[in-house]
Amino acid sequence: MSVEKIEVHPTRRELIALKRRKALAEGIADILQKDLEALIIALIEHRQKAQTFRAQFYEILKNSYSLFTEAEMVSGSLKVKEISLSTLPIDYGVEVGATTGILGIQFPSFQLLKRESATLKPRFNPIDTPIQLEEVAAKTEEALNSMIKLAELMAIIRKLLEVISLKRRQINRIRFKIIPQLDATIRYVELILEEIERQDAIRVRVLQRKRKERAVKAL
Amino acid sequence: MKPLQYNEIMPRVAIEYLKLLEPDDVVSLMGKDLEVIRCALADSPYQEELSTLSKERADSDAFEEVILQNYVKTCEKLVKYSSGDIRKLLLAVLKKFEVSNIHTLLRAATAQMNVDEAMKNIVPVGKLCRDRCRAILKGSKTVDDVTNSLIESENDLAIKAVLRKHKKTRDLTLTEVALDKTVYQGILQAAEKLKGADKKIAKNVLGIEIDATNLKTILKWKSLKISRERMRDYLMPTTLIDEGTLEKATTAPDARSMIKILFSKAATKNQVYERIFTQIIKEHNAPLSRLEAILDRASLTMSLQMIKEHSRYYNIGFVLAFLNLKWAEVKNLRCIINGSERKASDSQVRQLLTFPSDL
Repeated sequence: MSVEKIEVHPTRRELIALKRRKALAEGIADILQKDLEALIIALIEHRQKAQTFRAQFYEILKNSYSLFTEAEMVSGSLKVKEISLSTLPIDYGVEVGATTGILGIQFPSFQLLKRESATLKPRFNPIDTPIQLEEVAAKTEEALNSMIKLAELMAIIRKLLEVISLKRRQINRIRFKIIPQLDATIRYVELILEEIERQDAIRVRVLQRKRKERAVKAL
Repeated sequence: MKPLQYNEIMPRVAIEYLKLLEPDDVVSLMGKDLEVIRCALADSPYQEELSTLSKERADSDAFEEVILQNYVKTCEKLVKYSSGDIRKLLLAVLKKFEVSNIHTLLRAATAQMNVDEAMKNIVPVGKLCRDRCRAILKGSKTVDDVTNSLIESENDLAIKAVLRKHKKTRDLTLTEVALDKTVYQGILQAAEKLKGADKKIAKNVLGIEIDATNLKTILKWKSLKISRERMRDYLMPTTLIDEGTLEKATTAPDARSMIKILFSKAATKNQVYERIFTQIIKEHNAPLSRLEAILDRASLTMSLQMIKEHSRYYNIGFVLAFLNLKWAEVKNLRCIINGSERKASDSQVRQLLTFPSDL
């Protein structure tokens, strides 16, 4: 694959500048590589966390369903339905914010908001509501919290993947485009400079020969 | 004790007692398909109610309706064959179902439920028959309309007062609790009117039910970390464990010390209380549902204890024990049916069943 070279004046100063740019590009590529490695480690950690949270979330949901079934078995499905439908719903919301994560990246942060007055009274009639239903309500809140945490982790993972992809593109651009371009330009400038040197050497020899000839004629 | 009062009711209770399903038969229904349960119950006292059930509607809701109808019918039979103060007590106990229907009507109106859907949970009893409930729901658009209709049709002044208050407060939970309170007050008043051993037995059996209800309430209160300020409103009329003790118990740091406070007050007075509190203290770390299950069995334990202590016949003990056994059977069947429909494991279902042999 042919590499385009940069349009530069083939001078020694440019050659030094090009060599400096190449060293800088290699340095940047190394730093980016280290960032990429750190990001991949963070991604693996978040993925493991997400897996744990997902397992916890499924466990909470499983327990909730089991408790709900138990509530239906204890009080009857009709009563549970009736109580559930007539109870005032809790107004939940999600607050979206941002936190600074690895390499100063802004990660999304989600917070479950429960808009409810202070717990001054029970939500259900304590006399004819099985405790399992209260426990289900508490577990559901726990499940919602886990769900929000899981969503936050998924958003962070998505963000990390985006940044990793960007860093990888940057590294690839430096390694496979900028550095080869600089190499090609350096080679080109070196060739030109060598050519100029050779021409100069010939010119010097010609001048020396002419000077000798003029000296011989003068004698 | 007036043996004459029991001339008619005792044979009736004995007949109904013989109709109770054997625990082994109930256990054998666990994990079975609803159609199998239906066939098994077809040869039981539930036959009459089951015959009204169409094959298309053979779901757990329909089975629940059938079982509850049978329970209420059995209670009504006992009321029919009883007289005097025993009749008044049975009517007071039956009032629980009437109030449960009021709960259903209020909840249906609050949730704006479909009339047919709401009617599924109505157990026709007393004045609140199916037609009356349907008419109330159909003719009402708001909770106030339902409340007004109920106030018009209700004879009980205490219930009327609670419903009138509901129109002002609009707090459904508090109204439901207040309605339950009137029922338990009625039961205690009816028990108070009995004489001799009957009075003692009725107060013990029904009293422990109320105490267990209060205990469940404060346990829930504690676990849900609700402010204690308004707890008094949610407590039923107290019997052996007074309100002061209950309130003192709520200040305890954990469930174990709370139960210990109650134990010191009640256990010395009655051995059934002692047995129940000892079990709760032993299992204080168990989930609240387990403690609730122990408390739910308190009334049945007490009634069986009363039968042991007093003669089986010619006292209210046998009647109340039968009612508790029948209620336990209803709960067991309901549990099995719902468990079957929701494919719950046999061990989970078995844990929730109550048999006299487990007590």
